[in-house]
Order: sequence, then C-alpha cells, then structure tokens
Amino acid sequence: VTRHLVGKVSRTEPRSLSRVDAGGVPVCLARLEDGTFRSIDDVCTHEGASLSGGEMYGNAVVCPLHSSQFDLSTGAVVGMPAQEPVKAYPVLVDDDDIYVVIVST
Amino acid sequence: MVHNTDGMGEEINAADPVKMPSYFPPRTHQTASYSEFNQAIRSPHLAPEPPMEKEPLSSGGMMHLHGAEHVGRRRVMNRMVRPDALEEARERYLIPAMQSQLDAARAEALPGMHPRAELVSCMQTTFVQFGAALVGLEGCETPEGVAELQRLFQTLQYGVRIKYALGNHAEIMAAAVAARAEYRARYFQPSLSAARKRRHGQSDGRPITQMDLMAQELDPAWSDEEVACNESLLFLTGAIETGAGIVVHSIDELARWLPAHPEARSRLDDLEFLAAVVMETLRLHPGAPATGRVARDDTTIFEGCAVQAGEWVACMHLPANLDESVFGSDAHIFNPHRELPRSIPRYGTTFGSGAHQCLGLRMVLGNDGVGGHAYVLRMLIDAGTEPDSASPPVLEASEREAYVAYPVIFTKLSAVLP
Repeated sequence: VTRHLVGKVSRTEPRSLSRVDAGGVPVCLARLEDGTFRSIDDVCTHEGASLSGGEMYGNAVVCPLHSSQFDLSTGAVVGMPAQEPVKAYPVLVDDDDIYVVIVST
Repeated sequence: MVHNTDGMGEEINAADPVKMPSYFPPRTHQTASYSEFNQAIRSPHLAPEPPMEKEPLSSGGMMHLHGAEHVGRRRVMNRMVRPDALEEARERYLIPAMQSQLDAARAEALPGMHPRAELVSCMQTTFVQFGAALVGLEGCETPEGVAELQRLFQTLQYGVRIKYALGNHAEIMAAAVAARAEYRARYFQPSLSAARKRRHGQSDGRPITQMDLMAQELDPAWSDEEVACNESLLFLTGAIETGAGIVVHSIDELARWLPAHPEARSRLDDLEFLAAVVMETLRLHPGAPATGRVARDDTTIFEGCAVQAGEWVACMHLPANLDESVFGSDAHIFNPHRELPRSIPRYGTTFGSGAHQCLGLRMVLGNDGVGGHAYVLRMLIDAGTEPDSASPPVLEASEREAYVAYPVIFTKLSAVLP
C-alpha cells in the first residue's frame, strides 16, 4: 500500500475535478460539495476519455465524451454507455495535504 | 418491396446498403470488418468528413468538429441527455405522444375493424415530440405545431442525408434550405428567445435543454445563431429519424422472427428483452451505410491499408456488424438472445465508435440500458401491431436503408364506439 501526495486542500475548490498522478496512475480527484474528496481511475472504460475533463452530476462524474457516469465513491457505472467500472482509491487528508492510496498487487 | 420517393416524389430504385455509397471519391479505402472499422474510426490520423453539399444545414455542427473543439462542445451537449432529461422526455412527451397516436388510430377505425396506421409517420409524430422536448423547442404544444414541425422534418431529413440521395440533389437541397428558414423562424428563434428570458429568471426545476445551453452560449460558437440553428436542427432530425427507424425496423424484425420463436412471446412485456430487440435491430439496420473519414496525414490505419493525406476512408457499418468472428456464425440473422462479451456493444458499430460516437446513443440506451424506444415498442406490441399484408411497406430511394411507409394493423385494438 502506497500513499501518494497529489495536491493541497487549500488549492482545491468544492465541486471540482482534477487529473492527478498517483505514482504513475492517472487519477480523477474529485472534491464534493461537502468538501470531502474521492478518487477513481481517470480513464473511462468506454472509449478512454479523461474523466477529470468531465462534469460532476450528484455523486458521479460524467465522461466528457459519451456521458457515461461513474460513482465517485465506488467507481461503479451509474450511467451508460460504459459497461465496466473504474477503480476507486481511498483518499487521505492530512492537514493541507491530499493523498491517494494505491494498493499494489 | 416497393422503392419510392427521393424526397421530391420521384420514383426510383434504392441501392444496396452494403455497398460503399457512391458519394465517396475515387481511391476511397473501405473497411471490411469490425476490427478494421474500429481501427479506422478511432485513428487520430483521420478527421470527420466535411459537410459538402449539406453545408447550409450542418455548418459549424458538432459532427464536423475535431479534437479539443469537439470534446468541449460534446461536454456541454451531454447535459441534454442526463438521466433527468431522458426520463422527463420519455414520461412527459414520448409515452403520451405514442398513446395519442394509438388513440387517433382507434378513433379513425371503422366499426368492427381493427385500427390501421402508417407506422413511419406515426413514429415521426411521436419522436418529434421527444426530440423537441430535449432541444427545448417552443411551438409543439398543439397538434398543429407538432404536425408543422413534422412536415419540416420530412423535407429537412433529405437535405441532411443528401449524400445518400439518388434523386435531384439541387432540388432536394433547395427544398431543405427553405424548410430550414421556416424552422428557424417558427421554432428555433422563439425557443432561443424564451430560453434567454428564462436565463434571467429563476430556474423552474426542468431538465436542461439544448436551448438553455445555447442561451448561455456555453460554447462560444453558438453566439453565431446560424451555427446554433444548425446544431439544433441536426440533433432534432437525428432524434426523429433514429427513433422512427429503430421502432419500425424492430416491429418488422419481430413480425418475421416471432412465428419461429413462440416461446419469446411471454417476454414481450419485458423492457430488458425489448431493449435487446432494439439493440439487435440497430446492429442489422444501421441508419447510414458508412461513416466517412479523411486522412490528415500519410498513415497506415490497419494492416495493409496505407492512406495518403487527403484520401478518404469509408468506415462501413454493415460489414462490421455482420462480422462472424465478432457476432457469431449467425451474425446475419436477427437474434435478440445473442450473447456477446461486455466489450462488444450489442448495437455493433451503428452509433460509430471513438470520440465521435453518436450523442443519440444515450437516447436509445437510456441511462440504464432501457431507453424510451423500448417503452414505445412495448406499447405497440401491447396494441398487437402487425404489418398490414394488404399494403406493402415502401423503402426510401436512397443509398441507405430506411422505410418511408410501413402500414400496420393494431390487432389488439378496436374502433372507438360512436
């Protein structure tokens, strides 16, 4: 298990998405309306678009290309056309630092 | 089968939709399999084909954009097909519109006779209201407003699909350009003005429509109202044409398939099964024979296919959708029970693939795989819809496969008693 520093709380707006690098893994980091963070793989399983370039819709991210939707907490598909989920990663906040936790197999 | 009408009423024979359409220039490369189709259409070395003859109707539209400009427009347009928008368009417009068509057929039927209808027109009227709801068009609140928009659509669709027309292109385009002017004055402009006024007021909780997006000029190109008008027109005609085509072809396929599969009749009220019917129908009946691409530079798009800058590639839908190595040895047969790996879409390449995959896919799939089209199909099946053997269907005279008339009988409905 490795945690990767990916950003600062003070530089992140609520209801925002950003693409971050977590030890070589492209991750879509989301800050929800309530200020908490979520992270999932940034690559859409449908056609490979960058999810962080999309929009938030409730607790989901909408892919900018074809509108597939993924739950930001679990990575589950909540809107087609995607069929396969994306990976979800735990996010830790330590003071002003944001970490994404990657479990290596 | 009768082949008729090229948009100007001329009788003319249709071409084979499996063949490369004749509008492609000499030396066009064409794909012959599912794999070649996907490699070509996803290639960053190939750009969407230019608007050509249909430019007056499609200039500036999303389908012609490329790269970041395309992704930016698409991200905004996606708001039109969010779950709440699809649900409202289905529940508030599509299903009631379908019910009105069935009621009208009953009202017009002779006593003691099953109601009859021409299904293509019936579906166009139904999907005009679905498309207008997503676009946010004003003026469709009355039957007269819907009928007028449908009349304009019937002319506009031949212009939008001019590259497949076999008739007189100049005449077809002149009629379509005139219809565009009417559409702009009667529907587009008042709807955009209303959306601009709403923008200054409070949200009424309705789903976001295309007019709302345009009123906010969320894409800078929409500040040019000619571009915005074309964008709305393309979306609307696509929604109507796709919707009507899918449902009519589905009824046609079921009419031929069910007699040999009576066990499936018990599943005809199952929306998931009907969604599978829709997907299988889409695979066998793509709305267009090919998607055109033009090489941006010299490249090899798949093994043995070297393309020079400026050369065209015809990404052929049916050869891909009938690829036995992907869809099985019975790929040419309608089989809604077909089992495929999750990585293979049941609708094949009909919506294209890659960045430009059609926005209409969300309308057909819905948010959960069961779009409004399956609901409409269930209503038609409940009404006992069967082809009218006394009146043969009529195919469009073009290089694509589309019905212009499909007479049906509603065998489970009866005339309204006077």
